Amino acid sequence: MINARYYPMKGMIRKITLSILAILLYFSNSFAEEASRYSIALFDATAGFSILRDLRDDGFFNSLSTQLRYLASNQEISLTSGTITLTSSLTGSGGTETANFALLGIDGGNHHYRISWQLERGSGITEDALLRMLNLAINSGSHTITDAFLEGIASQSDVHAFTVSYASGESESTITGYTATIEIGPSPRHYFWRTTAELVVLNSFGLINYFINKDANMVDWEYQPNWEGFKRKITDGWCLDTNNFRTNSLYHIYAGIIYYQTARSNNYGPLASFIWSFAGSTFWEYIGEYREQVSTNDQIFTPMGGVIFGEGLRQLGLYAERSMRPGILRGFVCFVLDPMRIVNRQLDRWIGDAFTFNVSFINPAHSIITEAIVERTR
Amino acid sequence: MKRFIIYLWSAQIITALLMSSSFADINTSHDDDSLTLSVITRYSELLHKRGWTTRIDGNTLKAFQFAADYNEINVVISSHRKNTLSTFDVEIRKNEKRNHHIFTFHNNTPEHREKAKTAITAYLISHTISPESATASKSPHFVWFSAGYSRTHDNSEIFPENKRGGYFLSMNYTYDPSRLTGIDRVHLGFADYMTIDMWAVFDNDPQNRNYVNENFFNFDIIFYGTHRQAGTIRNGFRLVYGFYTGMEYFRPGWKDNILLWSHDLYREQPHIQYMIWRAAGWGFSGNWYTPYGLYSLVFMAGLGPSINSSLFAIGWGPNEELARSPLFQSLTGSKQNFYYSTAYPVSLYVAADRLWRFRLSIGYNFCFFLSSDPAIKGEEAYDILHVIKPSAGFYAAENVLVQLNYERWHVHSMLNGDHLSHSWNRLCMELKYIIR
Repeated sequence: MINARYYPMKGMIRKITLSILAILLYFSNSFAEEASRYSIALFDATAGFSILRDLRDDGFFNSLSTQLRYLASNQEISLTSGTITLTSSLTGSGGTETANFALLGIDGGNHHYRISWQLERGSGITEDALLRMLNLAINSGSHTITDAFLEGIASQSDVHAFTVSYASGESESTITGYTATIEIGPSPRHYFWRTTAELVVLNSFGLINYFINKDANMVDWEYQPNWEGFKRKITDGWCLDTNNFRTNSLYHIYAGIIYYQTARSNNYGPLASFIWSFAGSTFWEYIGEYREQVSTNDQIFTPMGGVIFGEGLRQLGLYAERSMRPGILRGFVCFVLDPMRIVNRQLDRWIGDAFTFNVSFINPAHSIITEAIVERTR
Repeated sequence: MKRFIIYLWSAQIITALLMSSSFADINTSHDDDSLTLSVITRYSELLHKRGWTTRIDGNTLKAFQFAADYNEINVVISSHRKNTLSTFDVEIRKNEKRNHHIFTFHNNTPEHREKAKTAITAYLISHTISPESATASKSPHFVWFSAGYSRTHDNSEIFPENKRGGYFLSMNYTYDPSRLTGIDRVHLGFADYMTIDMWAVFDNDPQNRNYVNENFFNFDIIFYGTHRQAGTIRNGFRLVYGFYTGMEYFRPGWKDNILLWSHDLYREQPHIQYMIWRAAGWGFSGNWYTPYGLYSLVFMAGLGPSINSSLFAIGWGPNEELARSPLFQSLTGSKQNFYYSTAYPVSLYVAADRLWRFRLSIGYNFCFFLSSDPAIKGEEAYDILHVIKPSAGFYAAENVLVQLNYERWHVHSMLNGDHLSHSWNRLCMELKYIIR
């Protein structure tokens, strides 16, 4: 049984998400080939907190094509080449429980290492963090774990802090360990659906305004609100509209700015954001203004205005944030220049999370004993 | 035999040199240099993946990243070898924050190379991914604001009428990170250079509220270009050129019901209003630094769809509106003064700055608007706009410029073979505050 308190997702959604994560992992970096060389030993050290066993039962490790062993509390933890030992334990109580994870292994350079990280119990990034650390450990099989980190994780933009420690003295410089912080934000899939939802909501606001000013807009109505009318709208194609100068040159461009900035603040680049802006405009022209002929000039000026002004105002907003003192005025200026960045940044903060992991190189003989003692006394 | 002895001596001398301690203790070796290059190359590849542009020059690396700001990394690695130990003196400077470490490795083992490469690269990456230095010390943002007084005279007499004027507000923003690189040639991608210009006039006469309250903006964003730079701030040049996209807008009033035909003043007063999307434009911005001042030349030409007014849609009575050209009839019910067109805008601006404490400039804007509504057959219209803008300024302080601008606007309209022209003038006094 999955501990429901631990997992934010349940049932089918959770299984689908895990399967997708596992498939992505399977196809990344010849991961499967590397993973097949390993056997993974799982050990839940705290009674009543069997996160690793639950994950195993849920098929989380299946895609790794590795031998999987779940260690009972009376079994010895042994550290041998080709084995990764993954342990979990729980500390704290009540609302401040912390899940502790550790990965023990030997890398391709024959260094014994220990990767450890902590997460709040119930954190939504538990699987993500576990996958990344397993990826790091498995990719270290053909070279050192530091190399695996440098070639894999260090080049990713979500790594926000990295410190490395060296043995000092007159002898050779050696790395004794390192610490890195990874911010796990929403997934690309999440950004896609969030952008879609936000554009629909923005268009809905536009539609409310459209119907508030219904009398003025009725002059452009050409189609009945039914399927026949929509078919006629499709076959009639596009035309240059008869709206006033201000609507065409300011309001539509402002809509384009918001569409563009919505996509931009959902992690899309300028080109993708332009496509989103065009999509937002097309949605408005076909669905929002469903009784009017599609306007060619709107379809040009909305997305293009979105890119040009949207990007300009976004950078102006970043500049304001960088150069002004924190306070109400700065918040107001930044919101005016790029409102969707402020909104989506707050949403990211609510959804995303960060974890810090520590890699230490350990004495082989010492490591097993220490690990066993530490984990079993928790 | 004699030749053989000479060869033997030579061989002995070379062997002795190679084996002597003085030769073995030379400060650097080819192997360490090659290791340094290999570390820098690996670090450079990692920086590329994190969105940095890098330049390697021997044992140094310079990297920069624009991304709505400007970040710079400079790395210098020098090596020193003594017997079986090699030391690497690694210095990394990110946004002026300096870090330094000396690494020591044995150089007589086959693994030392990989060990050194990993350890030094990890050190460099640790100082690259450091949240405390996220704020760059050099700002790529250049801004000025100005406020003043502006008067427009609606005919061709050279000086504006006294009673028509308004408060003038203006701002310019330029995002220009490549000038901070100090590199002679840098490729510029989308949004690596952009300018925003905007100004507006607010009436101060309650009787004429909303009259001639001109408003203007122009956004230009580079999407493929080049930055070039050479020399020093006292004797050098800096160029940015390439392909741009942008939008330019001008309107002599804000509200539709004030500006347009229902309003007496605008029904009678010749004017122009336009909104241009410069779909593709080529621009050049050059600055030449001399001991006698800074000289600038800015040029932009392009084309794209637009909407703009015509002098032929002014002065119509309510009954005459029905006799408008179908170019305007297409807007029946909206009472608009505009038609859809293709615009060919060109602008040129030349300035001499910091001539002692003076700034002199002259600008010229041209735009040809050609009607292009495919639904209207047999009707032709075009409009030609000329604006010439001389100005003179005096630096009251390092960042404060007092400037007098004069603008002469001329519009020539054609509709189905008929022609109309009109000129008007604008005079503006402004106080400009420059933020660098």
